[in-house]
Amino acid sequence: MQMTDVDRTNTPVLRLKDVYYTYPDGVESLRGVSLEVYRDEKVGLVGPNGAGKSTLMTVVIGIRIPRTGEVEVLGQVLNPKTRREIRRRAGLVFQDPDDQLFCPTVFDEVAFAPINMGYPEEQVTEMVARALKQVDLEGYERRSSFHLSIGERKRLAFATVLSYSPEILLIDEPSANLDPQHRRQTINLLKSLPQTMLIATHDLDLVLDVCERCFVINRGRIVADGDVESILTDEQLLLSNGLELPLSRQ
Amino acid sequence: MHHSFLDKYSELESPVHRIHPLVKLCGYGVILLFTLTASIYRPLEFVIAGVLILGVVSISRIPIIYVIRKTLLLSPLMITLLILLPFIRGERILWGINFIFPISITAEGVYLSGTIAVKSVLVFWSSVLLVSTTRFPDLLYALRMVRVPQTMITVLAFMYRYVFLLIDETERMETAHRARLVRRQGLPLLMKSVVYLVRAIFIRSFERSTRVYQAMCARGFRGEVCLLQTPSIHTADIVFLFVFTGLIVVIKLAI
Ligand SMILES: Nc1ncnc2c1ncn2[C@@H]1O[C@H](COP(=O)(O)OP(=O)(O)O)[C@@H](O)[C@H]1O
Ligand SMILES: [Mg+2]
Repeated sequence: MQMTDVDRTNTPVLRLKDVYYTYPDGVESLRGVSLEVYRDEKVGLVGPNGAGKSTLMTVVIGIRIPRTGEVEVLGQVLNPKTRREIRRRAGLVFQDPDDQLFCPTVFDEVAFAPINMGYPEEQVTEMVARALKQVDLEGYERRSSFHLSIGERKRLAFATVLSYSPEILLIDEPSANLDPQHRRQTINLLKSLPQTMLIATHDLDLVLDVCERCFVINRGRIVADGDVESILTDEQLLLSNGLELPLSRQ
Repeated sequence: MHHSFLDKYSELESPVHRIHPLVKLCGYGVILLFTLTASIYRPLEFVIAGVLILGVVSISRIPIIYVIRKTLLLSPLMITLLILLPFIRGERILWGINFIFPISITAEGVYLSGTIAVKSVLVFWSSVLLVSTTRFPDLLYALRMVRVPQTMITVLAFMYRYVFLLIDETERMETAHRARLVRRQGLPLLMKSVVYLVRAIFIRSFERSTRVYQAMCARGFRGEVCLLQTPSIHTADIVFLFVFTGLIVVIKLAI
């Protein structure tokens, strides 16, 4: 496993302080979440279904507004004024690519964010080409995004975010619904990207492979925070939080 | 998600597909004008329009049978028209009986229903031809160039996206529903389960569209669909438009 040098003495690039979030129907899905992610870290956010992982991801870029608590991204406190800027610098890859893809063609899909962010035309074309290359979808520009395979759509979903080179990537369930080969491709992609990452998943083997550090989240609370080796080998901790030892450690 | 709802053949390669979308839109307008001003008293005009449209269909490599089969979508409307219209008032009565009050089929009625039927089919064929030979984003681009309001274009773009979404959710729910269907249920029970199905489709589509919207916002969406790709007009496109329009005008004058 590669270990990048992470400087934890600096201010974190992502910080949540005592965040509470309640859905309109009364489900309290985040109950006092505090966490910090530092530059160049790849951090796992592991927890069973319904733990609050997806909610947390959307809270970070202001799609959902916490009831109380503070979100700080790259030194900026999240509020309606900073939201646009934060969304430009922190990109969220959704769990289900069908939620993320809505344009008629692959090109439009990847160009969507850069165009909406006001980049000039030649630059947009360049950004699209680069992002498609990063995910191995060169030459797909004119294809219709609804007619791709699930593996391709997943990679396209990555490209739509990579196009504007956010400094932080928030990735929700990158390996969900993928067969072993596509899962492997996704893992390699995650490892090859230089961005700071927060990866929500219950695929603990993926976390072992990609991340240096991870949080365990359960019922809306962060219950553990540490390096992957010590957390993902702690059977007691995992079992009591609806998880199991990674296959490679069983 | 493998749908071929509107644009099954829009990715084909053919001379018709290669024509600039704006030119195609204009050509479509010309055909519409020709068809709508044609008259049943000069049936040759309809024959020419039909041959012209189907000719272009065959050049574009779209199976003619596909276009014909799509026409069946019009049949409910057609049948209603053909049954009701012949009975409108008119001078020349072809057939009549006195049943409580007089009922009669008039020549004017027959002509009118025939005209509407033929014209609808021709308009429908040319519309199918247009959307089957033009990628949807290109069509949007052409519409923008002829000054269709931005709001309208945004709505169309969303419709295109959400139609797929709706079909998708419906298919999924229907499969799940069929899997649980008890054999030979009574009508009340069946009705109830259909109501549940429709409600579930609605809720799921709504939830999904919420997520799609969130994903759009995450990528900087501010309420306007921006398009970038701008295909360029070639001389050949312009020549084509003139020749085509000229041809139609000549035909119109000659008949
Ligand atoms: N749109 C919603 N409305 C109401 N409750 C929701 C909604 N989305 C998720 N929840 C609830 O919030 C909790 C956390 O969900 P989520 O963040 O999706 O968990 P995870 O991604 O870890 O599986 C769950 O109890 C779930 O039922
Ligand atoms: Mg989730």
